[in-house]
Amino acid sequence: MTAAAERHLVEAVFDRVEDVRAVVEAALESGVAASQLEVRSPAPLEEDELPLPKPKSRVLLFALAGAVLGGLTAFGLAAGTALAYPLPTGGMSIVAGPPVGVVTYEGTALGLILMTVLRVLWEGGLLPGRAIRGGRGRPSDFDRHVADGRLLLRVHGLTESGAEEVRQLCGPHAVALD
Amino acid sequence: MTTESQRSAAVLDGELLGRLDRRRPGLLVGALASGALALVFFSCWGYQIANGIGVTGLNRPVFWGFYIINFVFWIGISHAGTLISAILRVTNAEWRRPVTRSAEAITLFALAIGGLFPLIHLGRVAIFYYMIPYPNSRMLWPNFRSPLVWDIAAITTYIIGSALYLFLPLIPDAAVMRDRAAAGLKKRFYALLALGWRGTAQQWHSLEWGIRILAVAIIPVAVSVHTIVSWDFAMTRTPGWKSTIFGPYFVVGAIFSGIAVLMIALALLRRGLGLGRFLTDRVFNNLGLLFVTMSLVWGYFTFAEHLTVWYSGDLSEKLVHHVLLHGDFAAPFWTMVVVNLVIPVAVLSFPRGRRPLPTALVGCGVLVGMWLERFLIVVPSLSTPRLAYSIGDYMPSWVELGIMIGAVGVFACLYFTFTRWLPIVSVWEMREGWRHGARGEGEATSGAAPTSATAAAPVPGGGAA
Repeated sequence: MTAAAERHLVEAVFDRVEDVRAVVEAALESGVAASQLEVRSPAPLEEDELPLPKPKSRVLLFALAGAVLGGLTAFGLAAGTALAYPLPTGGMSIVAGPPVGVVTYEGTALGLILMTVLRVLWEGGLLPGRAIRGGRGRPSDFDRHVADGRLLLRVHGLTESGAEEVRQLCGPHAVALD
Repeated sequence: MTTESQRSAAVLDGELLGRLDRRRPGLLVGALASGALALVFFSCWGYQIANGIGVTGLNRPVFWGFYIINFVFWIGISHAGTLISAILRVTNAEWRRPVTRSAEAITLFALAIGGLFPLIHLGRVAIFYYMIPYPNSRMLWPNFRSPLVWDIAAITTYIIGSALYLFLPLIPDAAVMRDRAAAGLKKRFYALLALGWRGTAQQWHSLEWGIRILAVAIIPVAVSVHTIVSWDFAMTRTPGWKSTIFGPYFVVGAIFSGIAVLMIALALLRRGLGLGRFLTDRVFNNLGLLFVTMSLVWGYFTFAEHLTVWYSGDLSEKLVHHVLLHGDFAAPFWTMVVVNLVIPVAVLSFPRGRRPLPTALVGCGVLVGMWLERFLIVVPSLSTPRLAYSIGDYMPSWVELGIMIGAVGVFACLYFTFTRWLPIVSVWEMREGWRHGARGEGEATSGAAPTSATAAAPVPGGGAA
């Protein structure tokens, strides 16, 4: 099968999650891979609502890495600058624990926050030039149906006959594509 | 998603987003009035920059005055949003949904204004860059031992965190706005904010993780910010400032004044934008309970602070204490106690007092009281002589007064602008809340879901129905 033959896309709009679920189950049974299915919703869906693999996220991991990075940077800044140009401290330590601790604390929080947001944007394909994971198609297309509170099912990478089969599964919910 | 909830979503679009399409004369008048005040702010600041810090009433020994008072006051107000929103998110309080965004916006704008006051206080504002951590020509870095540099670190972290905490949940709503808008500048603006959001499972999953982590992370940051602001005072040996409980005392006061602003803002939004369906009596009742609790906690801290000073018998401390309770500053002190403790407890202890109008009025009083609290921390300690020649008095100049009043205008202007262009109630979170209610997961979101009859009606403002 050539790549061109697999470019068929079917879209369907639903009002109810139950209807999406029925079509998704039927599509999976007919041999469509889960990776070919994409559901867009106006609000987050619960994990058990659709028989699709749960999306994976490494936001927490990156947040922790950001915290470590931010903390180390802030520590280096506060302690390193004190050592770089030691000021007269009247016998007190050059690198004082509490001030360095305060700055390190804030740096840790800042690193965590920045890395969390960057990772969320990265995973969601929201950074400029980043392809959206798990789906293809029009990059700026949120779809008016979803904005209006409906659910959009997209099945991509289908053969011509496969697309026809999915269209039949969707019934009246299938929408004509431009 | 049931048909009913889908209809509810359509009505949501109409009520929350449709109103953005309509012109509201009240909003315009408010924006113009606040814009005029903002002009006063920048004019006075410009005058001070041109003529020097001598145009203020600051003097030796009262070298901290209205600017530092307002710095502490506005940073305190900023605790309204992010902290309250984060706590409600972490505890999964369903009634938070209509409240969080307006609270988070308060935080961001109050922080931006609060952060300006130290710059105004500098006089020569251009030398602000001395505080940025990079070495000068003698390879000397900013001194991180100074609590003022801790302030920079804490406030920078908080303002970035608060901005991102407001922005992240705004992305899906910006996408809805983008797809509703006709082609043009408006659409491009929303498209810029939406970053290409499409509502895929992966995007929702990552977004929820992000919001959850930020909500947890922002709470200790918010606490640290006002603690560090308190240390600007508590790290000195000045009578009235040297206190071990200043950190928590400031944090409590900050949350208290933050809730006061939130109550006022929510009452105005409910009345001015007709958001009664979302900002229900229940929301005001719950926030009112939180408000009265914070009033009592504030009263407890105030009592503890003054009791220990009085009991210690330290002469210099007692001098400051005396002018506060019985001397020149007794009138503002007892006014503060009445508006911060007596009135809130008397009004908010009863369910009738926890309605929009009473809570907003109590909030106005608390704002006055909390400003007086900051004034009573800063000025009496500096103006009470400890040395024979160190006698000073403080009277703010018209420039300081203009900047103080103008700051309210800048805040209101920013808030009006935000409300005009973006949904002040999170649309997707309301949808999610109604879905949870429909699925029987926990309590239903505050704000009654539209009835079928309401849902079937045409949505005002060209909504999605």
